[in-house]
Amino acid sequence: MKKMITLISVLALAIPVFTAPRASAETFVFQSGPLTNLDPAGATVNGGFTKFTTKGGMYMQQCIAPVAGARPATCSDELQLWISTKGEVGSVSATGPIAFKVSSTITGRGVAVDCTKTSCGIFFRLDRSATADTSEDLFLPITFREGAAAPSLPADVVTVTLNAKPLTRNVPMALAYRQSAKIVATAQSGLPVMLTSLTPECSYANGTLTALKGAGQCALAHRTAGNDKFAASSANYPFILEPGTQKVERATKELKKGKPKAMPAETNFGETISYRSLSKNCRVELNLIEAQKRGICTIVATAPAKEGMWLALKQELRIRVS
Amino acid sequence: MRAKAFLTTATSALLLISLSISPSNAAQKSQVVKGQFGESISAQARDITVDKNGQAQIVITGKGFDETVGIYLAYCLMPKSGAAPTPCGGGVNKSGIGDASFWISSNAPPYAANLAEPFRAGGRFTKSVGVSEKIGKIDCRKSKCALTVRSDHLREGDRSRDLFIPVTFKKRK
Repeated sequence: MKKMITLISVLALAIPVFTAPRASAETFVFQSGPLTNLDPAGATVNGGFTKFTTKGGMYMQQCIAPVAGARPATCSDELQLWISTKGEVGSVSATGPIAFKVSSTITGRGVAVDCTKTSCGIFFRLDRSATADTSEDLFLPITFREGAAAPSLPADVVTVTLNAKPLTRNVPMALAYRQSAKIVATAQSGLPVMLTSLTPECSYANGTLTALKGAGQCALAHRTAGNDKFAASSANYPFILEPGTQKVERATKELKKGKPKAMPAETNFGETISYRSLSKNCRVELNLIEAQKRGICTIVATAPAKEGMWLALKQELRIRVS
Repeated sequence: MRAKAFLTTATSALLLISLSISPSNAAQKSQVVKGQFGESISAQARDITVDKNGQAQIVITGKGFDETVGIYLAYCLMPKSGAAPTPCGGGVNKSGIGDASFWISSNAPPYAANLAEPFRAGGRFTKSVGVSEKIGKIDCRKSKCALTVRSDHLREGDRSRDLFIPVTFKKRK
């Protein structure tokens, strides 16, 4: 309630109030101060959502005007906000005031664009939870008055890879629970790339991204500070989480006739393993295996699935008996 | 007959694996406490034998915890129903690195990167917790003390993750 009063106060001060047109199918209402005749040296559009979509979070980005019926192809790497009602790290509250910085020059996808000569605007879209859903897409044109533009710096080209596969900003990639995921990030500028997990469903530390759930989504973000030669950059890399794969770790591979050996009692995720022998030359009791004859002893290890976390285990193990 | 002998050996093997994680006070059955989200903790915390300083170590294992929620594992005075466990302590902590409480979190804030330890896969952990007959001025032979699990300070006030294993001490000879 307090936030709403603050928002209304902010909007009241931001006169004249601009209200996003409702011609398309979007369900949100964004009100702000003027979007025309903005300062080319840098400006902030102050506003807020008086009604927010129930479909998920949203992104706001400064982009070049799209061709009719399409989404903008070039958007600023830096001038963007993630709006959410859930309070995730890195997001801005949908119920509070929104201060969106715009610039007469934007850099995106490695190119710099002069928004005093090219039509630019603020583009609204649903966030990574619904990347293909265009029902909330809205492009609000902005214009700048004549004057000196902010100095334009070339965009920094940042490459982020997961297990050597390049990640694409705002495009989800699959990631399994506890999958080994080595992250490497490099910037053309040579500046350090700061990586953070934006959601609790994943953790990031020491170059490793770890999915802590086997369902839902998470996101990794990168940021570079910029310097006198390169613009600052930031991006968001979403992941669709999938169930993990259970394994029998450190299982014995050799057995001596008549000498029982203990097999692991739990999977790599802590589920209790059940063993069953498929061979006549060996038998299993609980997690203990014993062979009576030389040859190959084949046993099956099974463990239950856990919904939203990992798949059931069914693994055949071949053990040499000497 | 041979099958029976094999089964006995198998049971012994399982017991050996179980006992190997508990250095002392081990010859008892584990107490297991389950939480409402599928998580559980277990420890052998009944009839604890303490050393000459009135202290002992108890191995506590946890599994099935939600890895997106950080927890504190600590030895505390058993709280009233619905209250947070406090005070907590156990043992002398001269170095500032205590073994009576642990912060387990796979997603600790950046400022706590080296303070919290992450869960193992499957929401598991194993910790040796230092317990003592006294927590400050509280005598745990007279008051009820327990090994406790609670949500960390990022979910302050969330009592839904609280778990307790009461600790009792053997009579001194």
